[in-house]
Amino acid sequence: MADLEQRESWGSRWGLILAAAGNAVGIGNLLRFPAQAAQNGGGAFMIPYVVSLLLFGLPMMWIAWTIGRHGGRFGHGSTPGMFDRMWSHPVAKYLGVIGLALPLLFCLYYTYIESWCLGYAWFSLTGDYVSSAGHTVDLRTYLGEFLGNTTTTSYFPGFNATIVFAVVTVLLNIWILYRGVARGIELLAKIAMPALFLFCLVLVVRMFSLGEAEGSIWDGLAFLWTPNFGALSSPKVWIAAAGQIFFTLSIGFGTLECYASYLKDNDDVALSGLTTVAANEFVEVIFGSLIAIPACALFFGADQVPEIAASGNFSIGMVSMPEVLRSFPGVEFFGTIWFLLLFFAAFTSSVGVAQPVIAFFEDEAKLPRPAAAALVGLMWILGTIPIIFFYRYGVLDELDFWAGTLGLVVFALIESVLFSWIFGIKRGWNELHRGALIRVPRVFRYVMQYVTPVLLAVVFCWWFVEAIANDLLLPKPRVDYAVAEVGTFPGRFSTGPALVSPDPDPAGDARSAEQYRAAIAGRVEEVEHDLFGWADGVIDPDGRIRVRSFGGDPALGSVLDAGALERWLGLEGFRYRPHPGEDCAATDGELRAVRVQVEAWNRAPYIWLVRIIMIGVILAFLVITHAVWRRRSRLRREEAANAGSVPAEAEVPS
Amino acid sequence: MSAGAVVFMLLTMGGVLALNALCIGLWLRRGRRRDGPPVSSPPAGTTAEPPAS
Repeated sequence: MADLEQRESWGSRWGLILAAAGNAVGIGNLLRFPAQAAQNGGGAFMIPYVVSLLLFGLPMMWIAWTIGRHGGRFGHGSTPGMFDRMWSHPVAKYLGVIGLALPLLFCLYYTYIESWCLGYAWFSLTGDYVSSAGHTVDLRTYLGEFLGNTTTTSYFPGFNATIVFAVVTVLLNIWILYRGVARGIELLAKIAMPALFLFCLVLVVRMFSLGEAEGSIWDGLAFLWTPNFGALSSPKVWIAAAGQIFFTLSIGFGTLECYASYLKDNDDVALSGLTTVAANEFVEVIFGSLIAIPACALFFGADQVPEIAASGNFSIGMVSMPEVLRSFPGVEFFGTIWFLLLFFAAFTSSVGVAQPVIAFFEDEAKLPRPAAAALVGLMWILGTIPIIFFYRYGVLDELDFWAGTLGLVVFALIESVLFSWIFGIKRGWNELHRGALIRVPRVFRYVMQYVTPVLLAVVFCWWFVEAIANDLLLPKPRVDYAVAEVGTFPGRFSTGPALVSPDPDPAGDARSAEQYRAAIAGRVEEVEHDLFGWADGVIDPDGRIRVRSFGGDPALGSVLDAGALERWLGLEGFRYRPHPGEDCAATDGELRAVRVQVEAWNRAPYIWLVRIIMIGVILAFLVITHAVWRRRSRLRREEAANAGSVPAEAEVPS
Repeated sequence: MSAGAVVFMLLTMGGVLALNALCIGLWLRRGRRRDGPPVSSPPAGTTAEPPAS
């Protein structure tokens, strides 16, 4: 028990609630929720959303808090020890290892995303993306170059800025974790969460004070909330709602269990779990629906909002929102607020997700906190490096799929079954209510026992089958194109409706846009390396790209030439949209020259590298866990021998 | 904005606000009684299982 007395504890109840809410509130609340709702039935999405919350989110929240406090009673802050206490079987602690590998892998890429927000907060403050050399900055290219996702160098010459912000972000996380639970995580939550609420309020007030531009705030709200009851007959909508609940509450990371392990033995977990859900839903439903989508409707117009909502979370947050904010006075202030908001949301989540790993090294391996923080920090920095340098090969998405999506469902399913069927729902229910400030309705006992595990299994099967159907398990090359020196154009390049007929061209080429991409991807798979090409051409008066010459890797030349590239770009509707008052043609009457770069990235080696890293991390934690338990068992035997008697159970360590 | 959209928005946001108000209320009412007996205590001996190892 001496070890238990040395464990940290929360400074105050509100500190714990804010930290737990901070862990749950992330970028997804502000970007993913509105996009998901808008694409899955609008207002009607809230029906499966609330059903998922009741059948799945809330029960898993209570299970996590209960498992955590129970493990904490025996001095365990991470799931190997917690599971070992719940299930007296040698395999239990190894199942708990998933609750260490997933958080660490998640942190590797999530802090990178977090660092983008920090970087963009700085770029907002300095007005960096407002204009460049007197021209409007193309924000899509700006983001692509910041992340090294393209070979063009219009705004960023290299990786330097990206690396600086990534390193600063990881060090900030490690510093908070080094300071401990009360002086680090709790203090951060007490500052960051009120700041997050304040930033949200400032932005909501700002949005509603802007009046009308291309559209109005109300167009966005109408798009988001108009119910489409027909969508409810689609299983996809129900799965999307379950997925959103899963992500928004940060279930399956082992964080809430870790936080709850620092509670006192008779502290409440029932009302604490409910309050965490309530605070998370407040940010998600109220602020999540009042900022991003209405802002895009205001600036881009109602007809553009469906396309923006479908463009993905990062596109809404890092491209569309800056576009909106820089169009009105005060981008330096409001842009900074927006990105600091996203940064704080991510920061409170990442420190929470990393804490179980720190707790494992402290509680089980008996490392002092500075050593545990240093060790995790080292792994964190080393693991983030490949994410930064190989981002263009889709390694972040790969990690997100396994560690941030599928792995979480697997772990939540294990927890759910362990709690309800192995530990036993009767013991679990009693444990939940020990010291509780509320009585959880009895119906949830049956939901925890039967409905939640089944629902988790359904979500897992759905996502896995969907991944197989979409060929996600076999890495395909990424094919893209970009305009060089895009910063010298006053207008912007974008895709849209096809500019050429799909009928065969005079050369007899009848390939579709998808077939061009597939042909280039196939060539990359044959030669097994990246392929690059560049085309010089002009912009015709309609904004269409006319390719004059094409060069580059000879392997690319066998599937693409000047005529084929021009047709491909035409089929994708790629064109130049001049700035208001500008003519596509140059001022001296000649057509404006343009260079298009074709990039085909051979993803397979890097995707397999990430998979090997993931397996390596899991194996490493399995070995460490095995070694820790063996050592513990040996020490117990020695203690017993010194005391003069060897208990029989000491021979079989669990 | 259609009436349906307004209804769904107000119902959802109202529900979330009510849930938050409920939690705050419960903390204020019952949190003060922390030193007193909990709302529900399991029978003695039902949760204190022996350590697994």
